[in-house]
Amino acid sequence: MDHILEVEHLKMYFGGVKAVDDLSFYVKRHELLGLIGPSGSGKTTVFNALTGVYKPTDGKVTFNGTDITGKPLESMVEYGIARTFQNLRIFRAMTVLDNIMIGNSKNIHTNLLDSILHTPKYRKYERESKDKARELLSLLGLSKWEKEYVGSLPYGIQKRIEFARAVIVEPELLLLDEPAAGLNSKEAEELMEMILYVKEKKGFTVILIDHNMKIMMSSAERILAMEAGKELAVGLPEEIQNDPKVINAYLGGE
Amino acid sequence: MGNKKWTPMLQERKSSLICGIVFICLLLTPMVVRDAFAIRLMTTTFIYAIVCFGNMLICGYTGMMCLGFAAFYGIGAYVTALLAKNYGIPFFGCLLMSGVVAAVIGFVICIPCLRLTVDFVGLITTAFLNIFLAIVRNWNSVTNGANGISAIPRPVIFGKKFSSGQDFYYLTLLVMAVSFVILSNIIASKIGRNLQGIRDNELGAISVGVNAKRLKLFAFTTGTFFAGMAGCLYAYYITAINPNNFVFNISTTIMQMCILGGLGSLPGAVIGAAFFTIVPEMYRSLALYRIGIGGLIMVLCMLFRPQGLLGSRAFAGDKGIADRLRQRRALRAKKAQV
Repeated sequence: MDHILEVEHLKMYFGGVKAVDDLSFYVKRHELLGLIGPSGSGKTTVFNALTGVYKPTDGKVTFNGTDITGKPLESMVEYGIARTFQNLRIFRAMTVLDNIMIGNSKNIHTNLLDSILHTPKYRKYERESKDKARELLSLLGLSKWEKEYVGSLPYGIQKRIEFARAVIVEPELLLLDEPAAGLNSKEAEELMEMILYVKEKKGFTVILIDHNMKIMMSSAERILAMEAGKELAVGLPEEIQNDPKVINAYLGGE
Repeated sequence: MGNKKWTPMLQERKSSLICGIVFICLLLTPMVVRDAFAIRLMTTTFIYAIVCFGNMLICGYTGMMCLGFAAFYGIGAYVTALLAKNYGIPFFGCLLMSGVVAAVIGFVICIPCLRLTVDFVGLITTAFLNIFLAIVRNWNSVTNGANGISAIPRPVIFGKKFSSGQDFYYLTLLVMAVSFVILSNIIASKIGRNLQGIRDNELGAISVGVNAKRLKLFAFTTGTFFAGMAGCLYAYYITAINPNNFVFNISTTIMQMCILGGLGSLPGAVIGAAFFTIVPEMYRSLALYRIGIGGLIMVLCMLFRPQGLLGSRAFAGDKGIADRLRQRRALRAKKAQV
């Protein structure tokens, strides 16, 4: 299978509002596809329709050859898809380590009895999980915040934690919704470097939504530009940058 | 900052050590304290603590505000009253059945709550409490209606009849301690982590594969199981129960105990239970005025320490008024420097 994800004629209508209107695209294995478009063009809605937060009005979504159209959000991890959210959905009243470990739940094979009695099996899985989480924290430079409550940390660190939580799921496809939004240019650059590094190291395929054209140009291998729920243009970054339709919609980008 | 001299492993052991010490103190207390009234207060505290454990699991750790919790406490009490009095079922049978019946009903009630937000869970469970009270008050043939069930026999465990104040003190202390250990262990595990994830951000938790529906059902069922067990102990202890023992006011008292102790802290449940059992006795002389004190304490709590006594700071964030005043003072001081 060459394409890890194939989306055919995806429609997401909310009554009369056509948030996504007959969108078709594919994603190549191991590529980073950028998704751009003015606010309200339907980018986040595409993510929501793909991952089962919304049930698509029409269309077909195929992941690794399996039809996953309309499957619920909780099944996405099993298929191998993880995502982050534009408006940060981290666990504020828990420590950084706990936040990451929750992402690793699928690898902890204990039952209720193990949890009640803290059997050796339970201890083994907990230790493995902690080690794995700590390794990832160290990779992303988050080790020193391990015991802090996430709610009290700076916004940039919280964004990194949400990214880390999606990474530990070890998906094949990672959907990142504006990971650098709200960060200053230095923080955004650092985060993007980390994202690209992790992508290469773990062999992820990534779909990235961002408004920052500089980030898009430097990290995306292909770009899909949207407007009003429809595809505006798709192709290499240079092609998109010079596409008159895109320029029109964006008035010159950044 | 934290205690630098304690390594992480010792830190975890530290809280276990404190709990162990407290338990031993409680075990030794009846040898030092002879006042029957004080023993009675502590026994009542232990029973309420078990109910609060259940509520803590459902509300403090999973984020479902079950305002009708008194119903499950009452279900446990009535099950024990009926089984012990009418059928002579022994202690452990009653204890188990009280828990199981409360849990099964809890499971059924939780199902409509799964899709709803916190406020509506509160409404549904309050409605259930009213249904429970209506049934109990009118099903005269079984529950004896508003008169309630009296002359509940004392429990006989391994041949010994538990009837004195001291007997019940140790019995309830033991059940509370075992419940505490079981629940702490569950909370420390993946289950507890995922439940708190659901509390903090349900969609975020689901996005990393947490089965929110199944876990919420588990938390609710387990919490109501403990409430049922507490009801069993209560019925045996006061030997006569009636519908007025399980009204809405009891639900709010349980909530107050949990909030004051600190949502998200199991030891907090014990402290909250102790506070709201013992302190009302102190201002009994205020008579009519004491009705509002619980509410007043809640308001003060929200203003100055929203996370309760032992709850985690992060749970409340910096939203208390005291915090805002502190921040303003700090800002003003900074401006004055410039």
